[in-house]
Amino acid sequence: MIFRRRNRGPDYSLGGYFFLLPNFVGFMLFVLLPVLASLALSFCRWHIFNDPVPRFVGLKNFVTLLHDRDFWFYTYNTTFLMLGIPVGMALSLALALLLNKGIHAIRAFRMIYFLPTVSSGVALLVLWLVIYNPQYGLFNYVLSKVGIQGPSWLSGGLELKWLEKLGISPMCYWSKIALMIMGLWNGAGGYNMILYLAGLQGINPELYEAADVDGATAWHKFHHITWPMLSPTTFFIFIMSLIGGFQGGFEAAYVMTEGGPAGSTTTISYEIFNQLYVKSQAGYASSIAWFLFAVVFILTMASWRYGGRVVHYE
Amino acid sequence: MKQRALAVLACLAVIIAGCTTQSKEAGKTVISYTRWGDPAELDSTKELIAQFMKENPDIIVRVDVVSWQDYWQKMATAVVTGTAQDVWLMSASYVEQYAAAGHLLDLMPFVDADPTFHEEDYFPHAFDNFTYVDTSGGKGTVADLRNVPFRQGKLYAFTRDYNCSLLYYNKDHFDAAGVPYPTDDWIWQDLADAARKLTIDFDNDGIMDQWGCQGANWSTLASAIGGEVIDPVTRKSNFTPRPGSSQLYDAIVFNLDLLYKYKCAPPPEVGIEEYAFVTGKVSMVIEGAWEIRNYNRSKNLWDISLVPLQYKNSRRTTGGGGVAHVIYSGTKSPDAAWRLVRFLSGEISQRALGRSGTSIPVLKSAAYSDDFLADFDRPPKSSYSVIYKNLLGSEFIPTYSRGYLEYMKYSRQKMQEVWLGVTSALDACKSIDEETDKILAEQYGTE
Repeated sequence: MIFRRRNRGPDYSLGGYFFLLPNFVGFMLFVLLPVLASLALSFCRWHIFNDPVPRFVGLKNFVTLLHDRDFWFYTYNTTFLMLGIPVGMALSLALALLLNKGIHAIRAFRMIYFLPTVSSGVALLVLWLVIYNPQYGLFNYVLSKVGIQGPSWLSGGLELKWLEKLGISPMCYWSKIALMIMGLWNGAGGYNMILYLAGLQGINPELYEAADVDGATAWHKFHHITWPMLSPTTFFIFIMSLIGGFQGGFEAAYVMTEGGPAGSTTTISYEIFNQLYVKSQAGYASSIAWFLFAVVFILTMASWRYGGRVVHYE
Repeated sequence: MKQRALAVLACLAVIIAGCTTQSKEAGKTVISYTRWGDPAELDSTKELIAQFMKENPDIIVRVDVVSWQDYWQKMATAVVTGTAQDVWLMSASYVEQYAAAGHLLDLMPFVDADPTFHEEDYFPHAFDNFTYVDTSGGKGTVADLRNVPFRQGKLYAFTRDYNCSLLYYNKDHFDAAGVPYPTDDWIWQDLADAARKLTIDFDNDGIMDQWGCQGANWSTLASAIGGEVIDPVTRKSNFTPRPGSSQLYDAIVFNLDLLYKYKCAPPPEVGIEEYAFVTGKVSMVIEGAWEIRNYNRSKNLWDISLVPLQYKNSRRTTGGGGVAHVIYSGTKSPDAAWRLVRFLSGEISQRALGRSGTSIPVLKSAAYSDDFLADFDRPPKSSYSVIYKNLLGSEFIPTYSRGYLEYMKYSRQKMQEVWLGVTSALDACKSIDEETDKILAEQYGTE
């Protein structure tokens, strides 16, 4: 083998590069170039109608960003929606544990739980619009069966007077909670569940057998075998969810709420879109995008650095 | 090895060659056309374009239809990158923005040179939203456009159809409750009185089964009585009431009264469906004429009337022609483009538009023809006079400016808080003024 590679290596690699070329050229033209252009734009002011060409303004966009109260509110919205991540992961794990048991029609169940992931995103969002309808929606119907009169989930809210004393807007909308619940439903049975399933099936059954011999309970086995053995999977899912969470919320805001009521469902990604296509501010939109990148980058780095300690690698 | 590399290169060459389009149809002019619309409109557009190409065998038109939501993102990107279509559909709300940035061709030279063009063939004010003069005197890079009457400036778009709002009412509901039908001289109070009688809880379970009206559509009410969202001279927002200019505020307060004082319109927490008029849950609704085709799905008998005015002697105003065609300033075939524009506002296209019910033709002969709303049995033919009266007898007020959709989106969102009862109408008006003025200052560079 070594012999052949030395002789004919250049041929193979040249041919290989040719095969890489289409993808590489595509990546350079349609990904790397726009990304670099947006980095340049983030230091410019460019109202796409009123400024004929981008005007260099240095760090002004980023200074504006730091003082933009709306932007921080949208950042708060984004992080609030991410509170659902641990719950969603727990649900995924629970589903995976159930599906890992030898129950009847296991394949059918796996398919059913995976279905939201392969369905068209927009169709699901429209479905949830109907589910959340305060009058005829399934959600409030179920609540009414247990004696709760459900609110208008996507537009209504509660006025908490005591918040006013703290200098915070007293209006608390249900919309964020509603989107979080929706996110749980969409996310629990998706890729995270599949990853957990794969993780579970990769655990050496001998470990459980040994535990059985020692008389361990189900909880002991989960606590001392399953959970540590799954920690790389958990860590991976957590990082990916973190990244996805910061970039998320666009589809729901675009299709369901227009980012409202009162901006309560506008996330960072929807704000980027708004700045560009509603306010025509290409420069400022790029600044937000790069700020978002920096936040995600730093958080991911920090997670690798400090989160790695709790991960158990076999 | 070299041979193999050559073979790969040859393959690549073939692929690349295959990608280039063969647009040179012998000696013909190729132009592109884009519009927003739903799938049904795509079909009718294709038919019209086929007709156009039959009449103009020297021109080939490529058509592209996208949804309203995606359309403006697409056009913004297209003009910035210089790849916009030759002819496109334009909303009055965007004309100034695109024209000031130099993306639209002045159509006045074409109009002047066209012997078949007669202004009186069109409804009044059909061109008023599209005519501007540049008052910047060449200072700055973006033109400072002021809206002027037709023929007094440059024409940046050629009118296609009219928006007009109507009061739709469910006759079955009125008959059952013994309430007399709306008349053309109704005022707001008449609307509220009738709506209260039509708000009924049939089974006495505490939940209303029928609402008198679906909110009052404050912006329509205001624009029918001369309420201007921004002052066209000072370019300042107009929501906070001042002596002699309180139409917007009055319309907002009236809508609030319908919700909470008269309790005859569903408040937000009821979450009434968009087409509650079709399902028979509301008895009256104020909406654009384009809803005629959708409301024909209703099982009830219904009719139309003029939008009620605030007082008996209020003047009736209109926002003018709403949708038009523009020619991109970067076009290589302005003459072919102009022929297409004329065709799309000509007799054949206008009759097709009238038949579709998506809006009202600007061409009088099409609006008065048998084709107008031919496929719909409601409203009755005798009520078309309501529409004509609206178009012929209203005074024009300018409605649009740069950033229109941006500040209107803000006011719509702020208004949600008013309907929820969280913010008072006056406070909301003040913050809308503040935000709108900020957007306008930013847009016109007067910050």
